Amino acid sequence: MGLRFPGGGMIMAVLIKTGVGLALFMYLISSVFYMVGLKNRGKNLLVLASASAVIGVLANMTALVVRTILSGRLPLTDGYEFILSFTFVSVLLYLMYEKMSQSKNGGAVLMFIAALLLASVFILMPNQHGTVSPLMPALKSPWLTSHVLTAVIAYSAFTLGAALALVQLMKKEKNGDFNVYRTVAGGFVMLSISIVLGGVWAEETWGTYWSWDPKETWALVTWIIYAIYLHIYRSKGWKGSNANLIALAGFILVLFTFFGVNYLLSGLHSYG
Amino acid sequence: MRQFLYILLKTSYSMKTGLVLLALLGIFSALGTSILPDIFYRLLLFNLLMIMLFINLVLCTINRLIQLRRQVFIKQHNLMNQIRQWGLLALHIGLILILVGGIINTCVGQSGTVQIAEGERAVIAENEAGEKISLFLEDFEIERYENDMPSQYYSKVQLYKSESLELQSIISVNNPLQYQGIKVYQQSYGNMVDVTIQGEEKAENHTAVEGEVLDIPGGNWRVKVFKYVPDFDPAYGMESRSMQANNPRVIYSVYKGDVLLGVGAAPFGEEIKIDDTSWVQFNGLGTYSIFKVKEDPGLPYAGAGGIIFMIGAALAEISIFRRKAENGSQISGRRNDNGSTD
Ligand code: HEM
Repeated sequence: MGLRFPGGGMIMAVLIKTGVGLALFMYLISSVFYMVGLKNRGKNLLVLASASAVIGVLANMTALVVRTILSGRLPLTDGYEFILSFTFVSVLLYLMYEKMSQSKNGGAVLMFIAALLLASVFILMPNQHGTVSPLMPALKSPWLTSHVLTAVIAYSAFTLGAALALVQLMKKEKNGDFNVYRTVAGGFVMLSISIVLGGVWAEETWGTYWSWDPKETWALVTWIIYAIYLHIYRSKGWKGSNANLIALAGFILVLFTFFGVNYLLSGLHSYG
Repeated sequence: MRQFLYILLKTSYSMKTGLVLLALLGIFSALGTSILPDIFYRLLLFNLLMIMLFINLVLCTINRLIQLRRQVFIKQHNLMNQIRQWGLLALHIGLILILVGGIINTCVGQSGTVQIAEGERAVIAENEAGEKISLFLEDFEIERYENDMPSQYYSKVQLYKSESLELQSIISVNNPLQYQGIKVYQQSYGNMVDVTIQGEEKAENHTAVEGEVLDIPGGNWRVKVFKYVPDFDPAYGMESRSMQANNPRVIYSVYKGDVLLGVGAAPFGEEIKIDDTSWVQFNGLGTYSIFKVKEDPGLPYAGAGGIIFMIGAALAEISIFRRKAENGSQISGRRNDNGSTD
């Protein structure tokens, strides 16, 4: 598309980079505001924290929209776009949660994770803001798009779940983990749908719905740990902090499934 | 003895056993990606674990089904709870079906690759009646982006059962051909070169795929047809400068016995002298398409299982999000979950 509008591609690349940079900055200061505000019960600081998060999420969204215009397809096809969508949905989910629960406890941790994720974009793929490579034939499938979209939502829910779990662990709260359970359960449904849709895509493209490649396998491991979490959440002795520890371990697996497998191991998914 | 069998039965469908097996499956799967990735998942130990998990899942689901029937008789009035129970049942049944599909595929499924040159026909399978199913490749085309990267591969094919034409179709990536349980996928493609080789006494014509080695009759010269390059430029070595056929060459190498004598890049239609009586000439280019052919009788089970599992998971968890609406209270960081007693 950049060819049809000489210079247009450049402008869009700059817009995307600025959007991502601004979002990173806002997430970071939002995290600090939440942290200080929660410690000192500073009402104004907490309002500022939420406001920064909202500005950050709008900048994040702008980057995604410009990227969509630049590439002419939904921003769900490579590792760069995945992280942008992942942070966007994570912060969005968190803001929805904050509004519904009137609790800002998870804010500091979640916004910090979001900032780290965006920072990873600048560290791991500094030149990709405006780079859009055409899709190889195997990637041109609506199944793939829906597979990635559901994965983004699942990962975001797990991120929120982990942030809430961590806060509870730090506060040594024993019985408030229903919200962790709720977010993780929602993420689990999305991950389940994502894995099935990924299977449909692989079946249509490669002729096998499951081939034990590293990405698939680690997604399965992630899914298993959350399934275990859901099963033992109700059993005695697990409901409090122990279940929260599993939710945290699950989040570490989520990160490994994305970063570890993409950048350390290789396989069918190594393009993304 | 009875006691022992009783405990064994109880253990075999208990959730605890299931969770231990599930955890083991997770640990072993994770190990498998770094240790022996090629054969790990076919190891007996790994499959035994899957089968134990499968049995546990089946027994516990039957157990749940019996319990759920009782509950229906007792008549539960809480709709959300009923949806959850049925969702949980569907979720576990879906998982079982996925595993059934996988087991069937492992036992009787088949797959392989077939290469077919343009204008040729190859047998891809044989049905129960012993009739040969074959595929004729009419045409193969590559669609490209502006920067020459391939955007799609198309194979125009005809499918025959014995000698009768059954159907015509265009196979492309993401768009396999389906015929009576057989699926044919576009996997890749390759180039072929028409070659004439002149030995001491006679000339021969061959169609060589890239990498093929041809013996020159009557001597111990051998020629390897290494690679077709559409836009040859010495500065780029064996890589093509572009995908346009601006300067088509065939890269070849000549051997005497096993000893490499030289490498060259020849245009089409030019005689490459090897000695006084022997020469090689590349006449033209053809393509062949590479297909994956597979038959998986377990696919309908796995597919149905996938759908039932997704719907079940969504139904099972929906009640958690509805609970707020039910008792009218807000979600808060401090609320205790007391809505469920199993
Ligand atoms: C292997 C043997 C298994 C057994 C014996 C088993 C048993 C059960 C039981 C009894 C429940 C009901 C819990 C309740 O009502 O509170 C349940 C729930 C559930 N099971 Fe399983 N299950 C097994 C495997 C699996 C697997 C492999 C998965 C998929 C990952 C799975 C996913 C779930 C989910 C998502 C729930 C709902 C949990 C919740 O929201 O509380 N189960 N399972």
